[in-house]
Amino acid sequence: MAILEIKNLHKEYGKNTVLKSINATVEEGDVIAILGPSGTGKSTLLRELNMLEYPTSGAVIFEDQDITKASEAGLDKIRQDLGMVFQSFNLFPNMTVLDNVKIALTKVKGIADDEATATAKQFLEKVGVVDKVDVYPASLSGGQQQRVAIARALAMNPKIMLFDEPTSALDPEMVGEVLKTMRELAQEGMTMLVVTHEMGFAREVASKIWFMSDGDMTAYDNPVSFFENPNSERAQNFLAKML
Amino acid sequence: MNKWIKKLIMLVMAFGLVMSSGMGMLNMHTVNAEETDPTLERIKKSGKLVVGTSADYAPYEFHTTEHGKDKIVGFDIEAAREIGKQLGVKTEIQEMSFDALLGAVKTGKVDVVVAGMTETPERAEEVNFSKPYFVDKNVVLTLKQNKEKWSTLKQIRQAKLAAQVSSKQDDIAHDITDKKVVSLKKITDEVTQLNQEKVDGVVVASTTAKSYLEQSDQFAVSPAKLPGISNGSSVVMNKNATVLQSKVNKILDDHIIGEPLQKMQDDAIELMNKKESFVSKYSPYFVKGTLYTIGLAVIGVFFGIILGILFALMKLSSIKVFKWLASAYIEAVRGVPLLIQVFIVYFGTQAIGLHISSFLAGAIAMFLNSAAYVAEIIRSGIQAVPDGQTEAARSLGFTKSQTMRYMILPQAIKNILPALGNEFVTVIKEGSVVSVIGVGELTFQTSVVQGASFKPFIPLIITAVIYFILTFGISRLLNLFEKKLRKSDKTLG
Ligand SMILES: Nc1ncnc2c1ncn2[C@@H]1O[C@H](COP(=O)(O)OP(=O)(O)O)[C@@H](O)[C@H]1O
Ligand SMILES: [Mg+2]
Repeated sequence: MAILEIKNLHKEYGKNTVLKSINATVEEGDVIAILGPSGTGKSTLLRELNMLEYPTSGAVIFEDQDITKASEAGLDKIRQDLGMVFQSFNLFPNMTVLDNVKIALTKVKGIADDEATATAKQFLEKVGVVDKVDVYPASLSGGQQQRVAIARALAMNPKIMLFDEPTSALDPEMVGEVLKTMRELAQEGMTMLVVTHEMGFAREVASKIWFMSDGDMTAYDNPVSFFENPNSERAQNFLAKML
Repeated sequence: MNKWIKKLIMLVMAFGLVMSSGMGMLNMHTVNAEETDPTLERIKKSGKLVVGTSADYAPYEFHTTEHGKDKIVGFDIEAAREIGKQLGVKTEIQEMSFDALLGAVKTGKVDVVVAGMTETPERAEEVNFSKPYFVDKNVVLTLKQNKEKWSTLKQIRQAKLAAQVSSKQDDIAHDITDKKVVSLKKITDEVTQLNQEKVDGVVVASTTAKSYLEQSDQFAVSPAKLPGISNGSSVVMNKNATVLQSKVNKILDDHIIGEPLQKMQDDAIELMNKKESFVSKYSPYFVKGTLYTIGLAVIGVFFGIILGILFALMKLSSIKVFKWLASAYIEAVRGVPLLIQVFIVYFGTQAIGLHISSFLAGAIAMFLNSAAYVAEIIRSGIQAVPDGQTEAARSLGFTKSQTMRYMILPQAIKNILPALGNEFVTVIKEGSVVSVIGVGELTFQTSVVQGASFKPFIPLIITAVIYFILTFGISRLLNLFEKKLRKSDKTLG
């Protein structure tokens, strides 16, 4: 069953058309790698799935509701189901690692403090940084920070996880630990949309590929078909550069 | 025995009560239109005579220190107190600049003005004058070494003269010289200018000149006889104060004019020439000035922050009108010198019928000004928090206001606080500007001391040191505070 449907999603910044009437479907359990050259609208697409950015026209149907038409309060609720991980981690520097994960549990979900602490620690353990609960993000390595950010999103128990180039800001030696965390998540059956330039990850972990170029999106239901036989010049050029 | 005394006292009291109320009734019956007027009524009702004066006109009225306390004295003040005494009320002195006096008496801010003021036809249209209680002629005060240069009216035509702005002497000065007249607010400033040879002479009342002669031997009075009638000093009151006017005239005749006034003048001149060390005589001015300066800065920044937060929020809001209003205000305030803003508030409030003290006007101008800068500090402090913080918070389901509260503001505060500290230091320094409207802060007091002590330089140095201690001290304190803030926040360490 489709958990998310994108219908004629169109985005213009002034005269600049960034997304050209995109249509796509996400099934529960899908791991979708969104690939494409930079500046082609990958981030924009991702950010329009939880209304951090509003589309110019079109619909995003999440669990049978068009969330482009949801109220502000409704969106606050919907966003809890759509976890997001950013290229630049965006941890809250004024809070400890534990509080970074906890605060949305207590303030947004209204969960009691000790329960929230337990949940937060559980997810920090899962991503392998539970020994850092009391330090501030600035004293963590990039890889550790990104794993805390993943724990922070996961703790909200989302139905879909959106990743926007989660490893692009990392030193090469740290890319692996974050990809490992994401790989485990995929194996657990989490529905994931991952904007990435990690071709290995896309090939091995993704169940589908969305290839974006100049605001157009082509969906491949099988990663192999994309990598072996992209049958579009733009995809071929992209792959030639990346591999 | 005891019981009897008690009863007796009660009886006396009861009798007294009946008598006094009876007398009161009697009084009520005999009251008619000619026995009172609104001003007199107000004086009687409040039990005090509020006297407006401009205490920079020795020996008429001037500041002195007594037991380390600042006090307004002078023969005008003594005369005013005598009038109060004869009216059977307390006397309260209220100081303001000379050109604000007429407005004050017209609006009822003060009951009378006793400030060596001379009746002129223009003034007489606005207010009532008593008979002159003292007639003084005007002279030109010069430096002794230039005495020969300015001894005739013909020579004086080439002299650069100073006089108190909008005073009778000012008019005379304009008449007797061909050069441009320097009109200053304070006699002390004029004398300082004379001292520094920035002007050749000062047109003053001869009484004033005399006291300067006694105080220092560097001055001389030009023998030239100035044209025009000599100026008599009258008590000034509201147009409606007709009964008060005749009462005051009678008090002047019976209790002031002649011998009593002579004694008051002698006392005043003696007070004026009282020898005292510079420190004990003038330190109260610096202390008072410093307190005013700090007070102004505290008020300025405190209300500036409140208003500044409002403007910052308006500027950051998504409502176009708010955005536009806030931007317009901020740009306007930042684009106009503080001096002009001070004048606009001071005269603007007057023009719309709000009679506020110069301190209040100064404080308002300061915080209206500061608000614009604080708004920018807050806005940029908030905007300096990366967008990613908002996105992360919103993606977790935080509402807009929760995001502001838990993520943006705690981080913005760290950018804002140090900048606000700097703003406080700036406001302390810029507060000097409000001295122009007679707010008794440090810079104002400095010029008072400069004039009164005939020392133009030392007071400046003292003031500079005080400003430096204030600003440097506050900067150090803020640094310590900032360090502490940093320590508790390992993200910056
Ligand atoms: N807030 C914005 N205002 C105007 N243009 C934008 C904005 N955000 C992105 N764009 C433009 O949209 C296009 C797509 O950007 P983006 O979605 O970030 O691409 P990608 O993530 O694929 O690199 C780019 O040309 C970018 O300049
Ligand atoms: Mg991007």
